[in-house]
Amino acid sequence: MKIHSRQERGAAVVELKGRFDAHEVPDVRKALEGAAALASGRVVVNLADVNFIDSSGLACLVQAMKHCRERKSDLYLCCLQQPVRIIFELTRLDKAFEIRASEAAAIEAVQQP
Amino acid sequence: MTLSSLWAALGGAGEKLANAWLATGASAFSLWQGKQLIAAWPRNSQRSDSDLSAIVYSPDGDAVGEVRVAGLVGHVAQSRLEADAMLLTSLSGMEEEVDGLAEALGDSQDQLLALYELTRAGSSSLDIDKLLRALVRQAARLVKADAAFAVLIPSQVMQYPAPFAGDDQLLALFERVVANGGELLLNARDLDGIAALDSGSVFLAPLPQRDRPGIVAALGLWLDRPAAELSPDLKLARSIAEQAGAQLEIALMHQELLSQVRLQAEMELARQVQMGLLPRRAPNVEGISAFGESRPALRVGGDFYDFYPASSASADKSVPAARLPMTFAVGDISGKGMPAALLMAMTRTTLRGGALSGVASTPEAVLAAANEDLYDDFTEVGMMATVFVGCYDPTTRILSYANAGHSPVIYCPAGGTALLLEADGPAMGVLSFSLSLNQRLLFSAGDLLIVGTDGFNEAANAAGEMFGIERLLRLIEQLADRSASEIARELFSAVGSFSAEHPQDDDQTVVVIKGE
Repeated sequence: MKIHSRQERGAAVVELKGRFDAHEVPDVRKALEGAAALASGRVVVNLADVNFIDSSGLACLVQAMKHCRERKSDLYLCCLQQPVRIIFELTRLDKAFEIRASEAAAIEAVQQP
Repeated sequence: MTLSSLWAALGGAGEKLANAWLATGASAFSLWQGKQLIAAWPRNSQRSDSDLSAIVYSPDGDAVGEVRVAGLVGHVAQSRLEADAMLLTSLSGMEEEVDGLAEALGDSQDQLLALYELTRAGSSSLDIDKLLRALVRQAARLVKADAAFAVLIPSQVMQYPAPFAGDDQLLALFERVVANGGELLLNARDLDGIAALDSGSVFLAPLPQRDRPGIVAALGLWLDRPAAELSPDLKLARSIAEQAGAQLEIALMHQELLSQVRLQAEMELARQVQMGLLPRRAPNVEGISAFGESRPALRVGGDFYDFYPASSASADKSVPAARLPMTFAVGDISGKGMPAALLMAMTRTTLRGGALSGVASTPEAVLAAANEDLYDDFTEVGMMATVFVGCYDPTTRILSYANAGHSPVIYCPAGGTALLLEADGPAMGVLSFSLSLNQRLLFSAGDLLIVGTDGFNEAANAAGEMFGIERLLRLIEQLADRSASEIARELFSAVGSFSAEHPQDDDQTVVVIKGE
């Protein structure tokens, strides 16, 4: 899995590429922690190139989201592919996460207090 | 090298040189170091007057003395005396070289001895503590250090001859070696806070490891003497550190192997405990048959299922147990290994407590209470648990349930099409409150409810293709006529043969409820 982090308009954008399972969790966790520290907790995770996510991967995103919310900020997800969207719907994590169709919309939304 | 010691080293050759002067007409030949007479011919002549003199130099070009001749004058005699002085100058250079070689030989013998003693100390023990103790003792002795210490990450510190600084201060010194990426020679006076080291130098050398990245250990020596004198000592210290590094690596490998074996034994134990927690058999309830089974993957996982005995859930002893509502649960903790297994045990216990105490009277309330109890624990370990809680009431034939992010849950009415029942709230531990509400199914003869875990639909074949929900739905329709336990076994076997060439990497758990 490839992980790419950058800053955009005051938000930390983390792009993930590939299969997101238990093996990738330590690296992704590190990237998400770094992103949260950088942009005072305003994090956007772009999942456009993620084709599979298992329960460890979901738990990793949940942990990062909780971490951001503890700091009165948030973590937004964007650009979910169909298979990943289905996983979020099946597990009802779509109710727990803020999800946007595009990265621009997620960056816009994560800025709102 | 002084002129007197050089002259002494020349022995008979010096004497011959002097006699040659006397034989050619000189009345006296003498050798002086400043104002001090070193030797004179004829013997016992104390004459300081002379007619000729020439300076003897050290190899560095400093004047170290003088040769004098009395009773001869002239250009020829002066040239001859200067030639003798030059001879003495070059001889003193050679002497110094020989001394240097002898010293180097002595050093390398010391090193060999040190390495021998250290090897003996190291090879007799794989105990890391003993190894570090031998290292600081031998290194201090052989390098003639006034104190020595060794540091091994994450926080092991050994001091010699007695503790002279706080462990944290020495760990901070070690961090400087790590930051520097190699050995360091520090002025002891620049080390803040280590009062015992008030002069001299502190030398820090990593204990190099061949197969481990970074610096994991270092030897430190306090040498209370001028830095200019340390060069051979540091060479020796370096070779000791190198040797000790190799031994430490072997000892560390041994320790890791041991702890791996221990961990495996612990995992096996945890697995047995976990399996022991699962109910052996479903309770007997009027109107349905129930069956549950869990097959853990190689590593201890976090799947569980449970049936809560109806009899203890009610105080009303006049109603036969089989006519009382039966609660059951299926869950999957995200993650694997010991933390998942422990959290699974906690979740299972909390759900059971809620279901049996009567405080939480519906599946929705059981889930909400357990989420409230365990939310902080889940947050702490960064995990979550999908949980399905169901309750069948034989008097109404209603199966009520609440689902916190759990999948797959499949309902197949008698003779009908299998449907995936989707959760309405996320997994436990995701939000501090529960979103899962009570749902109801009227459960008649032949109706099926199958609550599995994602180990079924996510089982992959050699090509990486997953079994998937669709295949599960069709399989359940085909198996609908069979008994609850047969359906469960067929599910395991179908998914098992689908992913035959792929190791089972997630737990597989299923509870089957069939209306009778």
